[in-house]
Amino acid sequence: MSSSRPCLIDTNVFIWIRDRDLDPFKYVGSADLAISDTIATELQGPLPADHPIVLANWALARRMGGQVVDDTDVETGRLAEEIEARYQRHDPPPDDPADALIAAAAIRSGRVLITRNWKDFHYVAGLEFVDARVPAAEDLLVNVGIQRGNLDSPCCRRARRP
Amino acid sequence: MSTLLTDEDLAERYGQLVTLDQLTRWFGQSARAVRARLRANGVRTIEIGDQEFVQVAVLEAMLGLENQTVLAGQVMAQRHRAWLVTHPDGRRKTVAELQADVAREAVARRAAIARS
Repeated sequence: MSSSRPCLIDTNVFIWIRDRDLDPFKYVGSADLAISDTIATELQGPLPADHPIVLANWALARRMGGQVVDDTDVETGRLAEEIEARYQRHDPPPDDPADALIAAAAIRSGRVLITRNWKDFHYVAGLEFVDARVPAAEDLLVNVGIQRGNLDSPCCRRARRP
Repeated sequence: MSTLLTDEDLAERYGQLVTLDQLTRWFGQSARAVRARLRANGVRTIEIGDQEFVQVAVLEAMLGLENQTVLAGQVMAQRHRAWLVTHPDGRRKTVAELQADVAREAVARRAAIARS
């Protein structure tokens, strides 16, 4: 059963859906899917605009509704920088500006981040995400469930306390 | 800093595990039949308590289930991420630098998605 819960599809999940030819709405369990400008940039990478993989990516993005969250604005950039700075005591600390921007875009757009990269997102307060590594044939939102970013989550016994 | 591995670290290091019970349900076969097939193919199960586990990667290799498209997609994704967040000289980009790079082609990408 599809909900209308807005979701942001991380690059790794987008590729997962593309390469396994899944129905994105059924798989995620939401009728409101989007990628962000950073994710779109990563999907294209250094490939030319007419490369078959790029065209396949855009066709899937279009099939998902064609929504692209703008994460190039000042406020999203500021939040991403805050995320990078705030969690420097996490071990390992965040060191990837793309992950920080993707987390900031999800928070600012009120979307649940659907990701296979639990490691770099699980501690970000204010972020709601689904750990898509958990095997589920469909409806991740219900069958896997939404987690909230939390520095006190089980791995974070490794957090360096100030 | 603690040196203890978390369950996430363990999965990353040693691979994900699946229980024999899960496999019997998936194949629709008895535990005995699945265990016999695994053993015949030299796949070790790991017995802990009353459960038996198999590494997913080993199982996929045994059954020929590795998806070459998927593997190629993962490799390309790693290359694209490195390209996205790293300057040509190897320095990691700041958030502001990354945003500027992303913004440069954002309109063209959105247009390409809209017309595909």
